[in-house]
Amino acid sequence: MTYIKDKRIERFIELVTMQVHTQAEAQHIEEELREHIQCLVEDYVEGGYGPDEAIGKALFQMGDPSEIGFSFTDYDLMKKRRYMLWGFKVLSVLSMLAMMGLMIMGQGFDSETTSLFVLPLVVFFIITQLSGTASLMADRSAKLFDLDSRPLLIIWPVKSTIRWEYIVIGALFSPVVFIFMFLFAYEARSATELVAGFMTFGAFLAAIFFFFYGEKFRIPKYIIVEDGLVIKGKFLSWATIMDVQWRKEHRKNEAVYKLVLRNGLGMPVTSGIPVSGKQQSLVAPLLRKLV
Amino acid sequence: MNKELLKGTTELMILNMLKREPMYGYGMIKNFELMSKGTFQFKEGTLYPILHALEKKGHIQSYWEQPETGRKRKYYRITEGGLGALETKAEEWKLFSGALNGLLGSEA
Repeated sequence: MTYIKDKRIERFIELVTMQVHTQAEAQHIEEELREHIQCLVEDYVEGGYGPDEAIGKALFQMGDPSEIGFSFTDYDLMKKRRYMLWGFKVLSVLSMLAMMGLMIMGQGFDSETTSLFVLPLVVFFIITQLSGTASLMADRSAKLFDLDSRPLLIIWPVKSTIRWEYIVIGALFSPVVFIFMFLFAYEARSATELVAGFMTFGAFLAAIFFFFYGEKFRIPKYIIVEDGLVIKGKFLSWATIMDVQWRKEHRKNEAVYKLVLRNGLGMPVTSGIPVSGKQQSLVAPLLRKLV
Repeated sequence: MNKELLKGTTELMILNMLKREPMYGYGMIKNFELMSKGTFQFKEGTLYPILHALEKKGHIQSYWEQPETGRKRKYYRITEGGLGALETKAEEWKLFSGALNGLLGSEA
């Protein structure tokens, strides 16, 4: 048995799920909501309403989709996310250091080739990680986690955007994986060396895994609260903002909006905040009310 | 009924209902209305964030069930932790409502 299709139902589901952070969770929520709406519509139809009217009544009975979507945000858990992010960053750096240690110990390989290719990359990797951690430490003093009231809306990153770190690290590290495999297969002179080689490789993969997995716990950059906007950990009061402007852009068939906020002198106080087309319809009315 | 009053007690009502048998969202809503003789009516979509939060706390567990005819449904059942939480919450509520009744009674 399939669910009824209707534009209003799709819009309702979209408004709820766009506020849910992970795709997997959104999928579960969508299935549950569809089932519930379907039950309501069927009951209304049984009660004598026409299909169109039944859908309207069912959605009214469900409540405000924006509010429901936001209620799925576990704000307390979000506060804890930064510890997870830190933890994984530290694990990632430790794995990289373990890899270096193993490489120094296992002198059996062509160490010149290895150090020429690998060491600069390891150093680059650790610097990237530490710079990320440093910016997180700067956030610590910010009001982001000391807000008394729950936020009104969280602006999640535009999903189609690829972080530049991913591209750089991916491009630089994938050749290393192949060099490693080649070295281990051809240059190991004993079983111990082969094991050490694979342990090194394992540590390298662990470092990459922890790096990407930790990214999952990145805290949202933009949070709208009653008194202002939290931007990358810094608080900006509505009182200082005089003008709100939206610039529309297109990215891979999806409309993306850039939010520009200006102060009393007409100067932009932020570089454009990217907001997905779907979320723009939530952010815009909220700003009209607050600014 | 006042929305704020309802907020604090929804978790208690859900846990109490699931203590008897596993249920799915729509069934719970209908049961609420029936049991409270129409006093507890709220926007039905707001039930799901509460259910998900209870599941994250480990008080309830969900599973999908596919009947031979009809659509698959997500059921929720109470856990050991949930039973403990229910007991504590019910005690708190009894204490609170008893004290409030006493207060209102003495002023009447």
